[in-house]
Parts: sequence; structure tokens; C-alpha cells
Amino acid sequence: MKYKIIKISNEPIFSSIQDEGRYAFEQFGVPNSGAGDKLSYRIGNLLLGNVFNSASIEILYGNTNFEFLNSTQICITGADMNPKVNGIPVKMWEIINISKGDKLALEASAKNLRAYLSVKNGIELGSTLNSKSTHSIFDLGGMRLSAGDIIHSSFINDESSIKEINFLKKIPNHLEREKVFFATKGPEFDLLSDKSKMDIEDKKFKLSNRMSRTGALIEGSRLEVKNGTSDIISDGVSAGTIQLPKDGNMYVLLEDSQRIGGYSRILNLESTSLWAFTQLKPGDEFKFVITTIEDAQKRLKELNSIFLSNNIFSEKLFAEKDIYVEGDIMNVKIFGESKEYIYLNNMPLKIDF
Amino acid sequence: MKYKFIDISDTTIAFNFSKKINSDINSKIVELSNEINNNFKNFNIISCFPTYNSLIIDYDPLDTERLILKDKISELIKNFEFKSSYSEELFQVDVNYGGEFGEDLKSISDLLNIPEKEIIKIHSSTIYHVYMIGFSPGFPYLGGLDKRLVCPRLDSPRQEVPAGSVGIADQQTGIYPFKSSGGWRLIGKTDEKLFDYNLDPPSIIRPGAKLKFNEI
Repeated sequence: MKYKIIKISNEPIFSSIQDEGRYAFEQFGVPNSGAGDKLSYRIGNLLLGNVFNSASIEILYGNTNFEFLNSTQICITGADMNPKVNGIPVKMWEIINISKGDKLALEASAKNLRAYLSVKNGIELGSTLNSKSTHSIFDLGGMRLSAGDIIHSSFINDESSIKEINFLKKIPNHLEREKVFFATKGPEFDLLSDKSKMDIEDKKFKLSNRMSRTGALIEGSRLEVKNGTSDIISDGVSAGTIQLPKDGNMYVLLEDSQRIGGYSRILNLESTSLWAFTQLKPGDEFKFVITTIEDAQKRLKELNSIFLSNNIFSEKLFAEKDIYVEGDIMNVKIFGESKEYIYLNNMPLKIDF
Repeated sequence: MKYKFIDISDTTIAFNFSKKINSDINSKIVELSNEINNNFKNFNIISCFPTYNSLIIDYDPLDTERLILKDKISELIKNFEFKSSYSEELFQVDVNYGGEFGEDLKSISDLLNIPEKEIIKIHSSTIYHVYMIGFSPGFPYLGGLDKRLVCPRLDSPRQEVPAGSVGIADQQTGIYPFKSSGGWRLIGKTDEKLFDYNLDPPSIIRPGAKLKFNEI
């Protein structure tokens, strides 16, 4: 069952419905789409107790107003757009209770690009190719928002199934930290000249104003390839792939990118850096650090512990204790009616009972 | 089959089988890709797709150990019984060539010094191999373009290529199912709808298939 929940009051610069993305149709040329800053998007839905892959509104740049057509709960995450409900400031990263007729105003964000407006039970919209995501160029379903559009939410009868978390134990700092992005070496990294390889970590780069949900052009130091040609036989790329076209200016593929490309793949932003990178605005400066796949995946697992450490509140805590193992503190938590969940330092320990 | 294992990102791996474009190798890659997609749960992956020379696999590192996945796919490749011949599907696509439908046909004719009629005849008498689908949803990369028709991409891409346009570039030909920007030289246009997100699969044409153009 669905009901009307939000009306878009003014024309957004670019706002759209997004979820985890559209997967398993790459062989037919379907881009993935989905929320750019997955961490912020996921936390909004997590706080509201929504199921994984619930759809939210992604708002680029801000300056967007909403009117609520029914009472609900919302959560705003990502870029701080100084949210106000009926003129009164409200907090980011927390649940906000909304009454019918309330008006939400988001200002232009001073820093960072994208905010996520999530609603209780998620936004209801027909799925196409297993997703509610909107592609910014091709009509593949989803919904790009215009003034006057009405958004629906689902109504769930079984309230007991909803596990709501009011506060985050730890708010992610991926938007606050210094703009340093980790990138793994791409398949054609070794085509770069030695000087260019050094430049990647030594120089500061700047995001140009050629930026969209498909990709972003990096200004500054021109990189060079050894043999003069950077074209390859078109091959697989992904969101986060940094290509090097002929002119030597790096181009970062983002969430709406195609999955095949014909330029050298010199670097690839690791997942957690990609999410933070999608929050850059034209003119923002940043640096790159080259990393390994192993370390990239380690950081992804660490970040994911935010979800685990918050999600486990939905289970009954049986015991918690800090123990010392060879001088290191180890936090042990045991959850569940049958004590079936054991977490070491907020990571699940798998035991077959 | 020999291959090189490549990490594209922390969530994508690739098996690269060749440095040259070859339809037999591509057919094998498509077969492997279909096999893996049909058993994606067993391989614990998100999805898989073929390119000219590579098998691309997306996975969730929170759920799947990269090296275990690498071993599983390597094992599959090692023991896989490839078909000895492919009973390919042949797609036929009706095309209006030249004039307002293919704006670059005349300039290609001048460039290659081949009459327009001859270009159309050559282009529509070849059976092409669908290497992969990408660039835009449903866009088939077709290999096997007659050597006489090989010409470079446009110096600067068009901002707007109409949906249905048929283009050539280097040794490839392809069809733009969506209106988009594009740098291929346009020789004709089809009215056939190649992509529909309400269909499963959404693309009429599949990787590994064969395709022929008919002049109308």
C-alpha cells in the first residue's frame, strides 16, 4: 500500500530518486546508477529502520523545498543544507518527526554536493530492471524531480518488524576529513611515465566544472603516457575508474557511467573514497594516495562496521566485556535470544553452533 | 584458455583473454559470462558481463573473498567445456541509409572514394558479430566491418546523435538505441526499438549473437 507523502515545492537543480543501484543488466549496457554517496544514503535509511535498498531522494546542490502531505518521520544525511522545518532549524543525521502540512526547506550547501532525504518505510515507486534509481541521461525508470511532483511512501502494517535506531553511535566523518582520496592502480597504470606516476601523489588536483552523475573532469597537471597513446581496446570500467584521455586530464567515472570505456584506466577510487569524492563541488581541491586492493577492502570493512555496530542494537544484548589479549583491548558483545551473535570489535564472529 | 587476472576496482575483477579482437575468443567469453550469471549465487557475485576480450565480474568484498572468487572462476575456465560450434541467433535490422538518415554517408564516400551505393551494399551484406553491449543501454559493438569501410571517428563528437542511428568507426559498426552524444560517423537509421526496460532481457540483441543490416 502506498500513500502521498511529499510534494516538491520549487524546481530543484537536480534531484532524483535513488537506491543502491541497478545491477545485473551490465551485459545489456545498463549503467548502475544509484546513490552517489552510498554511506550517507545508507545511514539515513538505517536510522529510520528502513530495509536495505530503500529509495531516498538525492538532492544535488540544495535550494530545494518540500511540503509533507502526511505525517511521517524523515532523516537528512550527507551535505549539510541547513535544513529547516517550518522555519525552525532541524538536525542532520537524526530522525525528525513530521506532521501533515510541514514544510522543509534546504538551502544551498556551503560545502559538499549531495544530501539524502529518506522517509520512514522508504519511497514507493515502481521498480524498473530491479531498481528505483534514476539515470541522469537515459530513461531507465526512477524519477527526476520537478516542482509540483508528488512522492509516495509505503505503508507497512506490521510496525513490530521495524527496528528503529534514534542515534548513531558514531557519525561518519567522511565529509569532514581532509580531501585525500585513496585509489588503487588501474590496469593501465604502468603506461604512465615515471614523472606522471610521481605527480599523482605529489600534486594537488582540482575538480573542474565539467561534472555530472556520469563523471567528473579533473583539472590541473597533465599526465603523460610512455608510448604516446592512451587508447585501449574498449574494456570494463566501473564507478570510480579514473581514465586518461588523449589530452592528459584525468576523468573520474561516477555512478551513472557506462561500464565499458576506451581510455586507459590508470587509477580507481576505492569504494569509500568514491562515496566521499561524489560529494566534491567544482573548484574543490584534493589529493590522491595510491593504495592496494587489500587495504581498500580493509577500509570498506571497517566502515561497514558502523552498520553492524548500529544494527546489532536490534538484537537483545546478552553480555558485553572488554578483554585484554596480548596487550590489546578487544570488545566482545554477545547478542540474541540464543546468544547466537558474537561480535569482536563490532565485527561478527562466525561460529557454527 | 590463457588469461590475465586484473583488479579493476575493490569491487570488480576481470579476466583478460587476449590483446587482439577475435570473435572466437569473444564467443567463449560470452559463454563463460552466461554460465556465471546463471549461477551467480554459487559464485557469490553481483553480476558478470563480457567485453571484447575480458570477462568482468562485480562482487561485494564484504560478502565474497576476492582470492576465493578468483580461484573459483579460474577453476571454471580450466574445466569448462566450450561448445564446439555456436548456433548463433541472427538479428536482422532494417536501415534507411544516407541522406537525412545517415548524415555522414556522403562525406565517408568522399573520404574513402567509394560511391554511396557501394558503401551501403558492403555494409548491408556483411554478417557482424555482437562483441558486447555498452556505451549506452542496448548499444551493440559490432565487429567484422569490411576493411574498405574503415574510417576514423569524427574529430569532435556530435552533441546529439538521434536514437536509431547506425554508425561506423575504425573497424566497428554499431547502433545508437538512445539519443546521446557520439563520435561515430552516421550512415543510416533504423526504426526498430532495440531497448525496452519493461522487457526481460531489456535489450533485443545479446552479446555473442550475429547481426545483419537490410537496406530499406
